[in-house]
Amino acid sequence: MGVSLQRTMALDETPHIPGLVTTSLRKVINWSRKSSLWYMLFGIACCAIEMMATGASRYDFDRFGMIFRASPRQSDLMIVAGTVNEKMADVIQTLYAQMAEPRYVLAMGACAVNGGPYHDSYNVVNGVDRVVPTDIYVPGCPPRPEALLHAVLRLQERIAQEGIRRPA
Amino acid sequence: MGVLKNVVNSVVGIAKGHKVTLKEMLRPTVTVMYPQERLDLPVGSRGIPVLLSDEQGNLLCTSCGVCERECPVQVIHIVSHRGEDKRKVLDEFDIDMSRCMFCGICAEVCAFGAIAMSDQYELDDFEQGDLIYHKDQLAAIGRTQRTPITNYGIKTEVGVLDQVRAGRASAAQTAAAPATSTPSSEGSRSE
Amino acid sequence: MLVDWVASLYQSVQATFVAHGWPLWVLAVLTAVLKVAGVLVWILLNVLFLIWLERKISGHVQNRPGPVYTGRFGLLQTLADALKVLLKEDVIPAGADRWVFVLAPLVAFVPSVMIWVVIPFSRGVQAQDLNIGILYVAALASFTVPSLLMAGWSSDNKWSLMGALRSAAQLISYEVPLILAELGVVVLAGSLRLSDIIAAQQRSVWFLFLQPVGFVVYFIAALAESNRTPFDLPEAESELVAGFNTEYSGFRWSIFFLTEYANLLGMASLAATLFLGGWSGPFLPPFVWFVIKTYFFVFLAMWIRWTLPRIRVDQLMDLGWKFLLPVALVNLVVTGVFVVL
Repeated sequence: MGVSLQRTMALDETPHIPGLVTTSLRKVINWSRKSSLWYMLFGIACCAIEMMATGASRYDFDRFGMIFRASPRQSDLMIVAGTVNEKMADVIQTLYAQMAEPRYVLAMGACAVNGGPYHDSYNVVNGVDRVVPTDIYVPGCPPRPEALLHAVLRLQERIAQEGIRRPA
Repeated sequence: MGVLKNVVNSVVGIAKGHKVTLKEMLRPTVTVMYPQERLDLPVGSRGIPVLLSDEQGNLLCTSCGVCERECPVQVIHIVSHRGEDKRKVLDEFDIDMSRCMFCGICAEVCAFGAIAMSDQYELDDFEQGDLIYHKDQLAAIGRTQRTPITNYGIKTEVGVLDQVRAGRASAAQTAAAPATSTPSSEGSRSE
Repeated sequence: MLVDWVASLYQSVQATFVAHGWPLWVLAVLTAVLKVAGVLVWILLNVLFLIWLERKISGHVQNRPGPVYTGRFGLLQTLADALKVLLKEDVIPAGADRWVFVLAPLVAFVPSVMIWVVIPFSRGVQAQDLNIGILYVAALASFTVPSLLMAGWSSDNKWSLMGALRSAAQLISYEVPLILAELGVVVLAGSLRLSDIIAAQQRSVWFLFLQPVGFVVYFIAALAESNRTPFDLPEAESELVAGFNTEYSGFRWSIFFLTEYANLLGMASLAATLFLGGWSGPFLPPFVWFVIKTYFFVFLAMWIRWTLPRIRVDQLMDLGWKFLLPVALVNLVVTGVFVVL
């Protein structure tokens, strides 16, 4: 019948018009988010020792603008460093719910990734991603501080590509 | 007089502490600026276990399966079949790095020196499935061997892990390309 | 120079107002708004710099560089922090006393700005030269207690409440030696007006040399008043999570943070005015002298923070009531006797 249209895009999708304001605003906001990832003062098991080592003088998280905040309300990144057992899972869920958006979760060490040596144990959760949405996994038993820093750098790269509102 | 002595003692102690911090403030930093520089690990420090090859590029592994049996966390998965000359041919060799605890037993028990602990440790990834390293990837890291096996460990080239990761990403893209040819699925991410 | 130019500009604008018959209160409101804006800009710029300085100093005390990747020497680090904090979700807990929760950061921040009304930046550069300058500062300093109590009470959180109660006890007990130490200076200068105190120091010597004991008491008490380590019990993270601001997120928390550093800056500039002769000094312009002296005290406070561990609550009370208060009283009496003789 009438004219035939060639559809290049779904109708519910807004066309991408490059605008100076929005793109540079997005860049500035993402720059601020990625260069001040404050992590929560929170460690569960032995990986926490390595996390502390990363925060200390030899590797220095503060170079990337990362300082610890004791309160989940003020922190952006939860580094789950250690074995998540059934009892701790509830606490992690509460802490995650208490964090203010935008928030990120980093699973550090084999136990946090999927249970590690305690995989399928009676009281260990097989990975923290069964409890809270996890952004990046760092295997290792424990990972070296450099491995943690590498993960943080990759998470920063990903944050730099986000929209102003995080895709839900 | 006890009070006065106490006061003097505490003032001296506090002054000493401040002297130390001022001295440290003026000293150069000890930080390893990680992305730009890294520590030189000793040979034999344990990173991801890799498969070694001979000069022709063939894997040394004979698929005997002793590493799979001895692995305490059971993360090694081997599939093989009998070839025409009755020798075993290695089809799959997967290590699930998400659970590996870097004990090095697989390298220790290998009778053929086909596995060694490399010095690659930046294993982070966004998906758990990507943490399973396959035969080709392990062999690719192993081929960048720089030192002979010492303490079951070898040194490899810096950055080889990033290459392996990039290769996997491009392979996934070519595999997924015919399935997602519509532009809408890509545009929705980058608003 | 600049001061004279501003004064002549003000006079010409005033003349225009008079010539056209415009109401003079408009001019008064206009100048007040401009002064407040100037003070706010001064505070914000300095706080941005102070937080960066604190992180750099803490880094170098621990042999690490601190922020390096955001701008040159990481100078833009605080800007990134501020932007991120402003864009974070604003959480008001379900059990919170909403109005008090919202008001508490403002009640904390406004007095820390108001202190700057009487601080003399340079010769004649002062928002308002009150004749009760020191009394005014002392009155404003005690405003921190209700704001922290409001924050702690309204958060509906045990850590917040404990932090607030601790801070109330601490601030009340350290206010007394603080004011007594300031009184020693007032007795020497014979005036509560800050410009008179500077003039008195120009006539004789810096009051640091006439009042060494008073200075030490003032500095310790001022550290306790601005809640800095070794007196940061209200937000001791190892025992109270984050103290009174545990439940605050986003920009409400950033106002508390801003207040902390504005108080530090106010404390340091008041110390410079009372004990180091304020803006007066040879060779350099007065404003530069003011900044140098203020930052000397800021550095001192940061150096102390990254050296000393936090002290216990009972030790805190002992130090305040059993040591600083008698010493400050004796200092005041001795000063008075000397002045009368």
